[in-house]
Amino acid sequence: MRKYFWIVFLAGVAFLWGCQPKPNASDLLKKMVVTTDYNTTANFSNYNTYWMSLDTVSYFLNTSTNPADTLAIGGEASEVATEVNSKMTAAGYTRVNKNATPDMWVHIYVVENYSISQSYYYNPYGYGYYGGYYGGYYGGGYSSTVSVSDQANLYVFVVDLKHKSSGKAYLWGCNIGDLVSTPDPTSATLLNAIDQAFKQSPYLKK
Amino acid sequence: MTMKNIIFSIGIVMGFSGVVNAQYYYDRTKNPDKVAVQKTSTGRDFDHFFYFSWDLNKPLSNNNFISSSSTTGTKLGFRKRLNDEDKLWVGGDFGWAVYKQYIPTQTYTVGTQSLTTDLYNYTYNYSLVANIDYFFLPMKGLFVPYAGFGIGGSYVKFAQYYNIYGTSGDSWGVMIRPEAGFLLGFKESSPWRIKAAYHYDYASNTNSDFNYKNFMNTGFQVGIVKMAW
Repeated sequence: MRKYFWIVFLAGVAFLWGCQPKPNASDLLKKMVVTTDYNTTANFSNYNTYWMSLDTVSYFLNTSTNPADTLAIGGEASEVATEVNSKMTAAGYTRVNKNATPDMWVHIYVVENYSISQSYYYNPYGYGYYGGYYGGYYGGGYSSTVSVSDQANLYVFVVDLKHKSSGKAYLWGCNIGDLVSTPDPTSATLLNAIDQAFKQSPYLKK
Repeated sequence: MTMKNIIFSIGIVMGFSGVVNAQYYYDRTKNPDKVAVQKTSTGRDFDHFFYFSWDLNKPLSNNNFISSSSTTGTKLGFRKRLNDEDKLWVGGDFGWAVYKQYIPTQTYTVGTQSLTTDLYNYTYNYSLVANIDYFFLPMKGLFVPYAGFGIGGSYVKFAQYYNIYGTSGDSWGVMIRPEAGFLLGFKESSPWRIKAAYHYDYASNTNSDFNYKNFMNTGFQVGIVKMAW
């Protein structure tokens, strides 16, 4: 009886030690994480105009080797740019043409990190059967596991064009993620996150 | 034979017979008294038991991290009778409990940085404790109340989940656990019993990253006990 208890006890301890339940993914991914930061030396009321593209978002995929493949045009990119533009306008700034010497440049880009890794481990039992006239035997072999990781973040940066020479170009930035795992097939969750980025940055106004 | 002689002879015979009777009555080595054997029904002489309990816990400290009660917990343990007095039992148990709490979406600002997210705070608590229990009534009874004390080690893993991101940390500490409860059998000398107990836990686990200091907790456990001999 005692022997069986100790077997059950140790098995129970081993099982419970590894038992660390996590929240449901569907609950975790309902809302995106929004982070903002700003340059403390910037006086946002000193800026009047900005320029930004309304239909294009820069896109960087770490596995892409094609330098031309760095733009997302139309569709969701256009929705995102339009939303950012509306928030900048609501903050009191005026969008002007690129050639009209704007005070700020609003740059939107996405960085996607995709990785796939394969690892091998030696399985000494029963991986393969090697037959023969006098009977076969089971031999060991290598098994492999494949893990895929994919995540993407949206960045919006407001760059100072009035003081380019001073090197203090960065005025405001936001980081929104994760874009890949969101269960929302529309861009509503992302647009809400953009709204939140401006909401939590009350200093960003004319 | 004269009447005087007859009376004298009878007196001698009766006198000897009295001596003989006296020897028969007092010679206990040849005729010991029968000892009355008291027959009692004691059942098995259980000297150890095992148990598996469901554990409900409520944290008393660090409520800014988690204040919700936990229904996800178990205890797995054993006790061994210390001596024939049937009062003191010693043993140990392994405890596992998961505490979790959802923090609705908030904006956290530190310096120039602001972060908005909802959070899932989790702690995974493990304890390995040596116990000594005092049972107030004989173990053969139907209802056996007890009070106990445990001391041992505690390991806590802290985790915070948000979207696909997360942070975690851990801490080791010393745990003490006073406990009071009872065993309830289904009949006298029952080999299977119900265990119910209330316990208070104090552990020295601390983690500055999570602003977590000195874990305190109350809990109620109910489970099944297997008596053995």
